[in-house]
Amino acid sequence: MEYEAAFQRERKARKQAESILEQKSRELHFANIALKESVNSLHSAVQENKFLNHIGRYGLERLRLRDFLPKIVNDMMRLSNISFATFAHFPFDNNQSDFHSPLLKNPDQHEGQPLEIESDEVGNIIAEIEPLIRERKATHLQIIDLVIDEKNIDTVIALPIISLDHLCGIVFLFSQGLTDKQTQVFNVFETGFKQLAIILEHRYQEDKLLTSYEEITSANEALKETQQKLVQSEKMATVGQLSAGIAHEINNPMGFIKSNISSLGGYIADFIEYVETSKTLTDESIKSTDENIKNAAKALDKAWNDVDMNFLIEDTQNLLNESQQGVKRIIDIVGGLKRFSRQSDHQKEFCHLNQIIDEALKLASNELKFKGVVKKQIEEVQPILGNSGELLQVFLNLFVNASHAMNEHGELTIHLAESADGARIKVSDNGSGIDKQNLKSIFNPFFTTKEVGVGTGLGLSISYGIIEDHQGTIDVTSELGKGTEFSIWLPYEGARSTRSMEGIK
Amino acid sequence: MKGAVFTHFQEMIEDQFGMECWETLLEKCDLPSGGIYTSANNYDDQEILSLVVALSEYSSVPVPDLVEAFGRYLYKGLAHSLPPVMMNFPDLWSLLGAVDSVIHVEVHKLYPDALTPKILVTEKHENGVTLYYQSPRKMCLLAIGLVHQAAESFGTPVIIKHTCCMNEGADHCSLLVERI
Repeated sequence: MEYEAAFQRERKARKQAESILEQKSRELHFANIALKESVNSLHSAVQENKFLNHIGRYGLERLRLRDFLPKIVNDMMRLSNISFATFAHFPFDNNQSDFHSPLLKNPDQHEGQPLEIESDEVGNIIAEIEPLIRERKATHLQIIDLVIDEKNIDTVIALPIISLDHLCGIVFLFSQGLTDKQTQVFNVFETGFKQLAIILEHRYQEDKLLTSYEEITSANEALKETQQKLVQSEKMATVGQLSAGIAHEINNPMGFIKSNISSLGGYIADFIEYVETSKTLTDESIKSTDENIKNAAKALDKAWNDVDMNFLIEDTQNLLNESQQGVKRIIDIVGGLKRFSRQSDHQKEFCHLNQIIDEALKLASNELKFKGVVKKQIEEVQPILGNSGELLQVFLNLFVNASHAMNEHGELTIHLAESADGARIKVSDNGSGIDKQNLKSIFNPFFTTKEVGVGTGLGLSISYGIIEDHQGTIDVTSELGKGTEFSIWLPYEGARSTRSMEGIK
Repeated sequence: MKGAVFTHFQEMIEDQFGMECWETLLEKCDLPSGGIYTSANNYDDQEILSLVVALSEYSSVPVPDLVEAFGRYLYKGLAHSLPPVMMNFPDLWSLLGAVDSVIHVEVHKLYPDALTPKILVTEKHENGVTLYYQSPRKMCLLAIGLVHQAAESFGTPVIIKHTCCMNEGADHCSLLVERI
């Protein structure tokens, strides 16, 4: 009996121990559950971080939203354990088309199978929900009845991405029911999308900034070009004034030099007649028996021979002729300078450009006839108020220049058409072209690439002055070996007055 | 099988037949465990079968009767081992309905490896329920004993009809439990 009491005690002790063990097991079980929950929530946190991190990366990588969204949508499916999703992208730029992705499968649930499916039913649901989202601009949850891939889908969640009040995109998630955990994750998605919206906004502003920067840059370049043109015309004006002064100063002495040379010519003719007449007296006097006369005549004859009077008589004539030509040349140049500097005060009348062009072609035909063909593309234009003589000079100048640049296979094209309240004349040749360095200077007075004495270097500068005087423009483009094109624009009477008004302002 | 079943079996024998009987059974069966049982451990199913067969020989009581009697005895022990909140059932029927969904879930918390039988209420009648029993151990008689004892503890004695049985080749047992 003592043993039995001891045995019963031991048994009680064992039962207590077992009961404690059970208690501990139970505690362990709950600790285990708590631990599992922690692990799960940590796992979710990691996934959430990954999701937000991916969104953050979007800011750096500068992808297009539609190329980037599949990654985010996959993250979302993994995170919320949702089987299917699709997304739409509506770009800021209205010129770019909207984009709807195919139905995507959760990559965790569909390994090895195709990840994209087309479904008309899904398309219909999206078409139904999209206008609602546009209107409300908020997350939308709708109960549906759909079977995809043998899965019963009963809930669709549409999460919009809204940046700058613009609906940039929607992500649609197709779910079988909705757990508390999924609802929690949707909050993370919303936070992520807000972040995405901020990134999109930044990017949009950045692009806008870039565009305005580009606009400013091009405006700046246009400004620089205008400035260069202004400098050029200022230079031309200065040269013009200078030329006008010089021309005036040269003109006066040239006047009397010309008249003196002319008088001198008369005098010299008289001198020569006298000298030649007196030569017969010398020749007769040498034959005289009077020693005094004979000696004087001999001395005179010697002097005649010594100075080589025959040569003097002949050469004086030449010298005078050359001088006269020289003076004429100087007077021509000075006249050109005057015309360039708008010193001419010719009256302006309405002139028909096609007639002037024809006349200039006639005058240049001598030069052009051995240099290929002339092509005319003439359209009807209104008459221009101008000086037909001056304009003729401009065209003649261009045609002659072109003929100099071309060989026998040349082709001169003359184009006349209306353009911006005026007439545009394009004169292009397929000649040797002008190199860049020279192109800058071709309107400068005295600039020429022709041999000394062949060109004065005034032709184009005079043309420039004439066109300026008509309030038009003259430009040149050229390519070495290909040819040159001069483009002249002359304003109509109406346009011209507004232009001069602008000039006054 | 869980050690708790063995310890309760041992206690039942000691109570009903005395300690000598238990020693005799152990000697006769020559069990791998040597009859050293704790509730925390698992033991071979065969051991309980050997012990029941030996007891039947010892006591001349047929095995099925013994198993059912043990079921009745076991109920008290098991009912005490659960947390009190788990045993707060208003009547027998709610207890039967909760076996799989509440009690066995609780057991698995303590012993994740425990092999509990599937016991479900498949039909409710005016007078009782139909129980579905399924277990590879095919110990439906033990379940019947447990149900009887439970019924008695609620003061609603029942009659149980075994309409189909795993031991007769069915894939499960159906027990029609009806109030007397």
